[in-house]
This record gives sequence, C-alpha cells and structure tokens, in this order.
Amino acid sequence: MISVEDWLDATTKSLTEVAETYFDVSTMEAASFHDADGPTCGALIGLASEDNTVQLMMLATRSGSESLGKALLGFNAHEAIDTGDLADAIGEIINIVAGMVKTEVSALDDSLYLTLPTFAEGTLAPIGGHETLGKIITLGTVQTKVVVINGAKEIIRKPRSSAV
Amino acid sequence: MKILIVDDSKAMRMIVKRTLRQAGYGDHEFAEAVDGANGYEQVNDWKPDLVLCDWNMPEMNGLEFLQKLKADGNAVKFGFITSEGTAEMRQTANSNGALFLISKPFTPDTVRQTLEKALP
Repeated sequence: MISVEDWLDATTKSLTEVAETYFDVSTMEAASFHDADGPTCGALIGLASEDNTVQLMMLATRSGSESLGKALLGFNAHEAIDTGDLADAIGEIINIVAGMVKTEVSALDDSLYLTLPTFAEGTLAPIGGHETLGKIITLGTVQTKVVVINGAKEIIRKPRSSAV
Repeated sequence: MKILIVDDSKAMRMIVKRTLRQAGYGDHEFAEAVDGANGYEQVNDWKPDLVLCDWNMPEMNGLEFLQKLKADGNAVKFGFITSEGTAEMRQTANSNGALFLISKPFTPDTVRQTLEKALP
C-alpha cells in the first residue's frame, strides 16, 4: 500500500510541473496560509484500486482560484470568470495532477483508476477513519493547500517531521 | 487539415487549440466535441482528418470512442491527449489503433514533435 506521505510527495511534484508548464511560475512551500479564512475553494479527485483509495485536493481562496482559472484559460487578469469556467479550469488542474500522480506511482500500483474531478466551495472536511496530510504550496503569487485524504482500509505512515 | 479536439473540459480544449497554434498548426481548421459520443457524431458529420482526444470523459470515454470508430471501419487519424500516461495506457492506445498518446502537461514542442512524427 502506498503511504500518505508518498501520495503527497507525488502530488506536490506533479503540481510543480503543472505550474511551470501552464502558468510559467515556480512553486514554493509555505509554513502557513496567508488568508485568515483559509482555503475555501478548490477541486478534488479520487484514485482507487483494491489496495489504495485516496482523494487529492487542491484548495485556495476564491480569488486565488480565480487567478489560476483565468491564467489557465488565457483570460486577462481584469476579466471576470464565471463559476462554470472556474470549476472546469480548477477541475482540470487537479485532473492533470492526478494523472501525473497515477503515472508516478504506477510502479507501486498499476491498477489505479481515476475518477472525474469535482469542484467544491466552502469547508471540506473528511469524516472519521481517514488519514489526511497536506502542504501549503505557493504557485507564483497564489497560495494553495494540497491535501491527500487516505481512505484505504489499512493506513501506513512513514515517520515525518514536516507534516502539515 | 481538419482537427477535431475532444475533451470534456472547456479549459483543456482551449489549451489544446492554443498549443496547436503555438506549435505552428494555427492555419488548420478546428472543431470541438465534449465527450466521445459527441466526438463520434462530429467525426461522421464534419469528417476531420485528425482527432485529438482525451481519455477520461463521461458518456463515452476516449478508448470507447476509438474502438467504436475502428468497429465502423473508420480510418480517421486518432491520437490521445490525456492526463494519464502509464505504460499500460500507452500500450492499450497503441493496440487499439491510436497513433500517439501525449500526456498532460504538454508543451508546443511536444505537440509539434509528436504530430510531425505521426503525420509525415
């Protein structure tokens, strides 16, 4: 079974490549989220097999998500983006990241399948029995929180000091 | 050349078109479809020369779409542009008659090199 730390590492690495390719920005890890209300807008996607079941999430503020969505769609910064386009763009980012993660971990589990992405706004919280690990990653000027929710029946953990 | 872009994400259809222009294919004709079922209709109505198709889509996924075209005896050139690029998927794409599989994220250079190789 793949550890939650390995899922998070693969997700972070994939998000970095997406940021460099589509947004032409580098990424940086941050210690805390700058907005007091925290991230309230983002997308999630599932990866599952007989041995592994995880949800990958990428969250930001609404305005941060809009910045990423507009950049992906090629909108100018001052142009408005409606929720449908925002959901599509943010969903596509997590979809690409998840596809890369699937490829990255295929040596450990080659039977994973990918769900379709889901856009969400508000407070997202896993309900009991899951192991959750996250990191705050800054894409250019936009802070995101990348979260892995491990829903596998058995949870394994590697020792780690930098867990968020 | 008439190029049909099939992806359930409007954002990705825009990115594919933008990348094709950046890769030097801006003077070609483009059409879009939102899933395999819609793509199948457009292949029969619009008769593209090339289909660039996502894999993971609702309604009819990219592989089912390709298999349906092959079952019809349709020889339209077909390539995947998808977020998943495992060796198994590449093999599946190839064995079902796809010319190539470009995994996301892709650059104009990747697209140009792939199309030049696949469409001499």
